[in-house]
Amino acid sequence: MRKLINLIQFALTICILVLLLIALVSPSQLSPLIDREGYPITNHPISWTTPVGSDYYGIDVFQKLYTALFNNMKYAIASLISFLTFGLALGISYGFKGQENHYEYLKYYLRKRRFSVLGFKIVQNIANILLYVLQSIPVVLSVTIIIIVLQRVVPNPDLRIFVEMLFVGLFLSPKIALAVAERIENLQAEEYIRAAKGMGISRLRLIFHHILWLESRGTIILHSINLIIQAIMLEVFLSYFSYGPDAITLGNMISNDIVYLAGVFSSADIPKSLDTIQALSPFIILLTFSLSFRWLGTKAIEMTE
Amino acid sequence: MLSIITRYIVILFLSLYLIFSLLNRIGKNSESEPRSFVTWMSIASHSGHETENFQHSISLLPTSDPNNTSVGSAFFTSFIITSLSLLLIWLIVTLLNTLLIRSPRVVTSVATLINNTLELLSGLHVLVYGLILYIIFGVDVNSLVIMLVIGVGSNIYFDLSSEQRLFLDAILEKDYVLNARATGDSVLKHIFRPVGVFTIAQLLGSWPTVLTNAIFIEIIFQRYGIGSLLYQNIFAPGRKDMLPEVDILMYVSGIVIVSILLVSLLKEFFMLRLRNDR
Repeated sequence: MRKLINLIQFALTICILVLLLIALVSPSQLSPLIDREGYPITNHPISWTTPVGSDYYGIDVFQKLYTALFNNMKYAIASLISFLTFGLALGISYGFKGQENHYEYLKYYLRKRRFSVLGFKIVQNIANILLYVLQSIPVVLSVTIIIIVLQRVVPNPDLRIFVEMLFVGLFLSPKIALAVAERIENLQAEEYIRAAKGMGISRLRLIFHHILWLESRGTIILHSINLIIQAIMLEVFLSYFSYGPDAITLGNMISNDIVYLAGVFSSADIPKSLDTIQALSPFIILLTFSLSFRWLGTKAIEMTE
Repeated sequence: MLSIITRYIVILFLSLYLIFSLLNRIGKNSESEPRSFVTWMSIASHSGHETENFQHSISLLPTSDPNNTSVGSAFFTSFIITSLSLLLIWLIVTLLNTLLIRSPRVVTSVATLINNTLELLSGLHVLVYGLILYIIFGVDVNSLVIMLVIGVGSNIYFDLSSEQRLFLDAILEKDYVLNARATGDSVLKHIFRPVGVFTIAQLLGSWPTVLTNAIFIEIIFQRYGIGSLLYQNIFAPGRKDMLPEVDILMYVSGIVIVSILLVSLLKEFFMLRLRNDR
């Protein structure tokens, strides 16, 4: 049973990666399908050339789907940048063992002519407070406050979503920060880390190469993948309530087509099958993406351990 | 413990100040009457606020005034939904894990199948479930289904189940449990205290995430609670270009942050107890 689920998730991951690859190499501008007389082919049925048919304006829905997925990935990566930057910085500052005696510590650094803020108890305390402040604000509140503030500061919705995603990454960064801090705290007492210290390896190399890359990359990858999924979901949430960007995204597609689906199973008027399939397709992509990327995260953990 | 409480008080004030300084820049307040954080806090803690359109007021506790929006009663509804969802999921997790530990082979395989499926479904974000439910049922969804979705989505089921299984496996291997088994004593009597403390700490740890899920679901289905206050002020159709009620947002943020910090403080207390027990 587990093998079968693994196989299905592997296949789904390949499908998503292929879609992203197609989006990467194909033109980002959408143009309608045109017949011999130059008119757009509206509501074209499902065929080999148009796997999900065309919409009311004659645009291939499959092309819309992979463009939307690609746009969503762009926003998620913006969020990932701030997530990793703030999360790792906070995690390192919080996890690195602090020294109570600031004067002795400063003297040691001045004698060595090498200064680093890491290791000072006060830096650890500030990182701790910042971390818990960010963690105490739930994501739904932080997103709500960010969107209403940014709506007045950044008028362009396509630019605003990038800024919103940067803030989302910042507010979600405590997750990775706590994991990294715990890892650093535990590993500092390990013998090989002490030996590396004794050999004179620099503190930054010790943290970034030995602790973060060699020991914690699985955790970092897992948290990054979870963030990408969450960022995509938040874009869908924002677009659903018309706070999203103007570009084609999964959220905009769902928000525009949900009228064909809402209450479809309880309603007596069954909508046209093509409309239903086209409206369901972004949902299927969203589900596939969530399941496959989650599987990718667990595989990353397994491979690094 | 005193240092932990002090830290939490500092965190509370800093979080509220961060939100206040962001929100105070928008709305009419920034043009007509800029308020300080201390002024706002003192008004909020004593009576309540007149909203910016002066048609209704906001307060923490419910009043007899029909034009009054009580953030406290909305939070109470969200609190109940959150706690019930968490309790329901915990019951399911405990039942399945108990069946997985000791039962006949057939029962174990069925329990494994259900557990694996639920763990897989738990990987989906609560928003996906919200939208799928909206497609299937529209806005009228059964409360039990809502509670299940709130408790399963966003990895909550997976975290609860795997943590509980690991803890039970570890505790059943302890020397005093093996000794109790060998002497024919009741195992339950010996593991009751650590399992109880662990369960409370675990439930308190998951509570903030479940509350977030509940707010998302309340926004999507326009159910009464913190989510519906956010929906009416921010997400409802036509609200996008209007000024939000800053005071409602401040009240909502305040009450949610206080509750989350209180729950986290309680969790730390129980974790300390658990560490001491070990």
